[in-house]
Amino acid sequence: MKEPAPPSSGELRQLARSGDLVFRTGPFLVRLQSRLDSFLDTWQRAYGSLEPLPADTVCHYRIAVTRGRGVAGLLRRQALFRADGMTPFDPYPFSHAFPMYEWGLNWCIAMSAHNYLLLHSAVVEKAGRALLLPARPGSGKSTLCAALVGRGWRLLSDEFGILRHEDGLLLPLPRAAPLKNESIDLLARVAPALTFGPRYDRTRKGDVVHLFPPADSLRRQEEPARPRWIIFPRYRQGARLELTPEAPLVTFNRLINNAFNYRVTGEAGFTSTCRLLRNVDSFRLEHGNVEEAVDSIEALLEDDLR
Amino acid sequence: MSPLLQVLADPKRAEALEPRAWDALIGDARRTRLLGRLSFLLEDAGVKNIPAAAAESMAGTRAYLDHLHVTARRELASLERLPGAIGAPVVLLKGAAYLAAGLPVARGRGLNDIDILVPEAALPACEGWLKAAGWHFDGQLSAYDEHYYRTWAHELPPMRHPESHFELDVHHALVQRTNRLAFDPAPLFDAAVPIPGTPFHRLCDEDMILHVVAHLLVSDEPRGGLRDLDDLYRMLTIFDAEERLRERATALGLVLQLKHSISVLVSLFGGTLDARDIVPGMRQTSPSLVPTLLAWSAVPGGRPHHLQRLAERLLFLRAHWLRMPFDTLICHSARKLTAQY
Repeated sequence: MKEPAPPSSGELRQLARSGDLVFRTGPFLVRLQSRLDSFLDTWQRAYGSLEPLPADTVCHYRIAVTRGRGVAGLLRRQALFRADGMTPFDPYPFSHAFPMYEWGLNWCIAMSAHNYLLLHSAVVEKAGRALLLPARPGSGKSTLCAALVGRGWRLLSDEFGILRHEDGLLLPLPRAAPLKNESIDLLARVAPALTFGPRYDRTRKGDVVHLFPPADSLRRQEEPARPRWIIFPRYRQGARLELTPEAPLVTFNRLINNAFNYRVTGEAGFTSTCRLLRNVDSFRLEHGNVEEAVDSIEALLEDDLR
Repeated sequence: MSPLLQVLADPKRAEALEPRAWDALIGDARRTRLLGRLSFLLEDAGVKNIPAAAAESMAGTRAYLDHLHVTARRELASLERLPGAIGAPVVLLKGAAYLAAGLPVARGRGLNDIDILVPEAALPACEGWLKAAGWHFDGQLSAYDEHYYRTWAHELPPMRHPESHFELDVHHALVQRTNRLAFDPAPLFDAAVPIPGTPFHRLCDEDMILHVVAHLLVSDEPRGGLRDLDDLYRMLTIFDAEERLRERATALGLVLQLKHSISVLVSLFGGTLDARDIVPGMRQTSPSLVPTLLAWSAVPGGRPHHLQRLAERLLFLRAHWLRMPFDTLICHSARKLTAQY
């Protein structure tokens, strides 16, 4: 069967202008309206391989990325994020429309998708085994996640561990992953096949470059994965590699304290977390070298496959 | 007609919606905080073939509301010793009252704060008890804000608690002291009914309806408009003591406001209320400006954007016009403007 061709940049702009650009991102359907060509070009570089869905699809979120209005918008070009008529943030500098869109959509999901347990975690998968990398900002989670993706792990998400209560599976949400500028040189060396977006200076989260989701991740975005490991990574300059098993209770506490909606999900969230912990091995991983960290994770996988 | 209005008026009509209308329905309901309400209406009407994205969006909202309701009940439980301590009735208002009393209107409805009403004489004791229990006023309050609340408002400044999800608003009247529509709250306490299983009271049915009416027409927050209107619609459709409501509206000086509200409901949701004689003589009069503005401002996508904004602004001005005498309003606006710089 022939795959439908992705839209040309002209077609994409046409769809987005009229609010008819509809696409899937993991379990969610999004309708995107925008007239900002520079934003749409970046969007297309990140997600261009996705098949646009019919304009009359019923969506979870209706998003608009527009020019900022008002006096401030006249003095300085600004970009504004709206979701279902609500504006969660102040306008961003015009050139930062893409990171604004990415954080905006994350905000929508974190605020509303309480029918899932939303863990704050990167998720990758290989050979049918999913690995959760929950961590606080600054732990090197995104860099490690990107390095794993560079070694052939499938990117499910850099930010959301979406756990479905019904079957305990993790749902992919392959999106552009914001990386600190410093890790780009490193990643270009250890994972040359990855594709990165433009650099955005001085955003709320520092200088940021996005890792674009590989085409394979996007193609398989409706394919859930079975959780196998939870690893809490921590990068520390000069640290020796140490992969230490973590007690389930410790993992439980770290996981729920760092989740987006554990409290909101009540009993369902508790049950799903317990099931998750019964089905995974958990570790903490301290390292001073991301390649060694990847090697140690690959070794875990090989043990498991043996 | 907006799909949201169609479905609020008659949930069965969801079955005939095209996908594009379903899409607008979910977006508009989310924006007006009616997604939870919508979910229960569709469930009760047995609507089949709900598109997956719509069903999942509503499931997410229901999970959130379940959590919010549990949290609110727990916080109400922590206030259970308040009525005894101050020796006066504590009347729960709006969302907290609907929830505690298990009224149908609580289903699928969120709440941002816990509103209570106590007699003005009990206000100092109430404030003292709450402060001892760890509630405090927002630290950002200026001396002028404090003066504003103490002299003119119908409530204490909003209170917060380090362990509480909600803001606590302690009222001593339903309408601002300086408002042209202000009325003596004493009869509200006389008619208040105990909420079984709790030490709290709620307003009697007709006062509860009139509270929403007063809030709709004197509030300066248009975003809550449609949700409040829908609350009122749900209450009026199951309320059958029209005579009592009329008398009460007359006694409290809210007849015109009630008339305006019903007129908005009839124009938005259609004729089911029109046929009932809630306010005599209503059907002879032509629709007036205020209900028209309210209807325009409340419905997302119902009117061109600039008309909706205009309606919101006019209502905001009207709310302020009602809120205090003209000279006080001028002073207040000047203070508020200069405080920004």
